[in-house]
Amino acid sequence: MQTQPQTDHSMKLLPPRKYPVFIVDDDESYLAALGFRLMKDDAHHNYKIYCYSSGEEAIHHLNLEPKVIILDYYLNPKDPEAMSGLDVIRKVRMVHPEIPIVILSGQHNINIALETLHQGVYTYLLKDRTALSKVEQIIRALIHEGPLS
Amino acid sequence: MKTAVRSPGEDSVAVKNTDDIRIAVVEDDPMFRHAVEYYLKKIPGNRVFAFSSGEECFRHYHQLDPEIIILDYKLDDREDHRAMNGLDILSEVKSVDPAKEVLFVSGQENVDIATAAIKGGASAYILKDDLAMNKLMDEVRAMLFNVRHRREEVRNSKRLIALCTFAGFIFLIAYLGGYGWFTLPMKILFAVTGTIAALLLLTNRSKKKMHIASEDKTVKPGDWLD
Repeated sequence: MQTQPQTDHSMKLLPPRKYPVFIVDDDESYLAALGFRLMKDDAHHNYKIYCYSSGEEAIHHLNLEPKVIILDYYLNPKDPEAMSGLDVIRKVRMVHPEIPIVILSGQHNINIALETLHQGVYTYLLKDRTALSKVEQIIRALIHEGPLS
Repeated sequence: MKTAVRSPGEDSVAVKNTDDIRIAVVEDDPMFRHAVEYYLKKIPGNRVFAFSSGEECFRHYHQLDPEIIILDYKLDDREDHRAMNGLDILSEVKSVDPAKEVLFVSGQENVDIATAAIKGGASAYILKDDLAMNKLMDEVRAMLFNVRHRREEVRNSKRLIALCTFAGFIFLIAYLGGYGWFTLPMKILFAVTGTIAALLLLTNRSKKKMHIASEDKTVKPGDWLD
């Protein structure tokens, strides 16, 4: 039987703390694409991506204390009983009012944007070609400097 | 055609001395501008100044010092692409006074513009649709309430400053006079009131000013209606 080499754990430096970032989207392919893009060179960043396909899952894992939540507006097109984006915002605001929420939505409707902005989200982004790089920029800015406004 | 500043009239020089709340409307569509003016004038206790462009508004900004500003996004009806748009005006106004109440009214159904306006500090973004005027009136009523509340707070703080200064002065005289009743607690009271007065005076002192090239131009009553 082999003996494991004894390592002195007290002398080892702790790995740097990775800030959790939540992505919540019911569209699994978009979720995978966004997650893959953000996780691409994970080792160089100080954040860790968690992907959830429903609001309930994200709320269930809120004890990880995410630094940023990236949220879709329509989370329940198939199941009207499930939580919508607004429900998630309200729930998160109740528990952790300081977490910045970024809405990433395909909705061009201005009233939806205003409704979510008045709930106190950080910003509202449209799912277009520049969305991925914008999300990346916002995550970096929020994690390095704290909320900008 | 030159669209001039409308409505202040002959008594515009004394505009700051009245108790009315000053509202500036910046809107290039004359139809909507007149409608907004008409409905705002129905509410008693405010003064409305309508401008057709941002440059014109800033020319008279410090003279009027409006407390509520109603902005449009697109302000280049004469196809002048160098003209300021609503977001430029918003950032300029907010850089001087972040607590200023600004309301965005626009026909733009662009989500990015709405997001930028709300994040830039506008209180609300109202779309120019059938219900625009009703929503506008609701928002303006809420804002008028806020402005009155803030004025009351400022008035109270000024009263407190005056009281503290007066009390400190009295105690100073008593101290210098060397009356027998001026014991240690009185000295402490003097120090505390004097410190509070100094702090309040210092905090109310910091007021930035916007840099405008045409600022030194004085406005005479006749200038309003050119």
